[in-house]
Amino acid sequence: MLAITQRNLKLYFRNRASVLFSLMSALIVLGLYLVFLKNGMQKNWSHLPDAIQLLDPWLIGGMMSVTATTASLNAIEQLVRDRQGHQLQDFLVTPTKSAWIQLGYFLSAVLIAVIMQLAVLLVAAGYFSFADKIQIRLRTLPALIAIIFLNGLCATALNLVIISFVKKVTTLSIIGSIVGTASGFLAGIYIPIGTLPAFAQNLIKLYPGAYSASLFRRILMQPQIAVSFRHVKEGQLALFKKMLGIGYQWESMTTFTQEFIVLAAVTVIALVLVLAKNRWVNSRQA
Amino acid sequence: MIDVLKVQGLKKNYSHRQAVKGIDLTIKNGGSLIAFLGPNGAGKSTTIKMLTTLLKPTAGSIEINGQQLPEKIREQIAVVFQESVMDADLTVRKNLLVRWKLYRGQSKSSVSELIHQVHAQDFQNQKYGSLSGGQKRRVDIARALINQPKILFLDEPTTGLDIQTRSLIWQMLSLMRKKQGMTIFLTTHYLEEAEQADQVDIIDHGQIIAQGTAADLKKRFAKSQLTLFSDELAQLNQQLPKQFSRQLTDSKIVVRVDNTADAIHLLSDFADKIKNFEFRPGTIDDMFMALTGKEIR
Repeated sequence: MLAITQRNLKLYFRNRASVLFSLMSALIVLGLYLVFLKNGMQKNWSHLPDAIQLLDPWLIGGMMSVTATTASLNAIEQLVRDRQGHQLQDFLVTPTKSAWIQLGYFLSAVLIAVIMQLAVLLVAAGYFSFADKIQIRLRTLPALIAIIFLNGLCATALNLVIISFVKKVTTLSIIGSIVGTASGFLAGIYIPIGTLPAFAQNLIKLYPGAYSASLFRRILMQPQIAVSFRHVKEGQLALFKKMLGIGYQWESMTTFTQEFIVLAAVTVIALVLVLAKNRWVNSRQA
Repeated sequence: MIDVLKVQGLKKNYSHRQAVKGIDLTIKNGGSLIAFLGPNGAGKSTTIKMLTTLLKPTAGSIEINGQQLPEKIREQIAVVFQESVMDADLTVRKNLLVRWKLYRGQSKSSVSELIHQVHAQDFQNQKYGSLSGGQKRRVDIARALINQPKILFLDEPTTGLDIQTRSLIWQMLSLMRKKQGMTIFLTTHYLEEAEQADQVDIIDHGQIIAQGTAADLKKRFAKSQLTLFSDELAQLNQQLPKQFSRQLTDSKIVVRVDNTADAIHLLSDFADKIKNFEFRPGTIDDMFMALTGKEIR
């Protein structure tokens, strides 16, 4: 299993294009924010002290959420390539159990998603701490890393569901560009959820990536929220969170725990679906 | 003694069609070369996939070196696939190491030995994707030998290779056969490669239609070809005995005869009308044509 994981990691990082495409959505988000959105959002929230220090980490959260999706999709593309090019058969004729081989692919995609999220965090935090003097507190790191892993798992599991219907690499690259574009909107990253019409808001609430974005935002923004909202009227904070997608309106606003459970549950359901489909295909082959 | 390969009643149904309709196949001796031939769509690939545990049979049993469980069979076999299945972006050595890790009980130094065995030392640190077709194939074969298989399945291994590489590969393989008693199960487009086989199996429409040594099958099914040149072609054509099938063209008559004796009879009977002749014994191609009605491919 580890042999496959190692190989996939090596192949992924050797291939500059796949690394670049994994980061593309995050980079587009960053570019859009810097060129178009930052100013407007800053004006909207200008009554808050240190609005920029609030908004920058908000963006980083979104970037990390979308990175897991695009990176794991690019990583899992190896499986489609190997199916198409019969490399997979070459692995399956070895005595290593096919379950372990598939787990090797899964694990490599999760790891790649984690590594790329960390890279995005590092670069974005570095840039904003230089440009806007924002601070990422070290004590938030354990929670961040936990969510990075969960997000990586969830995104990979969902991408596996997509992949299980795809036979050709060309099809997948089309899907990749759709996912890359859509996930940014669906996670409420390009445009904050509060400014969207009700239908779009509901779409976002159905998209798992939105919950990982919210979790990241909670962790990254909490220290600054505590400072900025110290002297602001009650109710302002709730409005701010609702507008920016830190928690989503179900019956009431979602909590950290609920969002965590959403991601974990989606991961499990997606994996069950993939296993069930595998089993169904195998039984038809018999 | 345990048979190297024993297949009984092997069948594979797809939803609308029976690809393989019950195959029996036995290989008794280790170290033999089996040629498995058939036209496209005959069920050849499906059979190989079942034998190499990549596809579950609908019915029937496969036993390789006494093992029936797919996991156990996989320890006994290796496959050289038609297309290259190594990673273009990794070096030869790295590629082999990745595969080596998927097997148990082989020492790491065996990878170096294999590289040596296929004369790949000079390019072992080059990326697989940068190699020539022949070099790639040698690496593919090294990969297949990692687990010292009892049966090596070769699926059209020499397609598109030049003649020197083909003969080098065959030299290497026959050495393994002799030294390690490795059995080779070959499918090929080059029927002259099947000429060397200890056992030839011909499959068509999902069934084995002929089985035997190459020489034996040729004798049974491949007619020899006698080409006659004459100034009185039309007349000669009429006078030739009816039992011989023939083709008349502008300049010659091609007659199919069962053996040399028949040819000599014909030549002496019509000596005065024949200006020149050519005789060619039946080839494995002729046999294949006679059996399947098709050229291979």
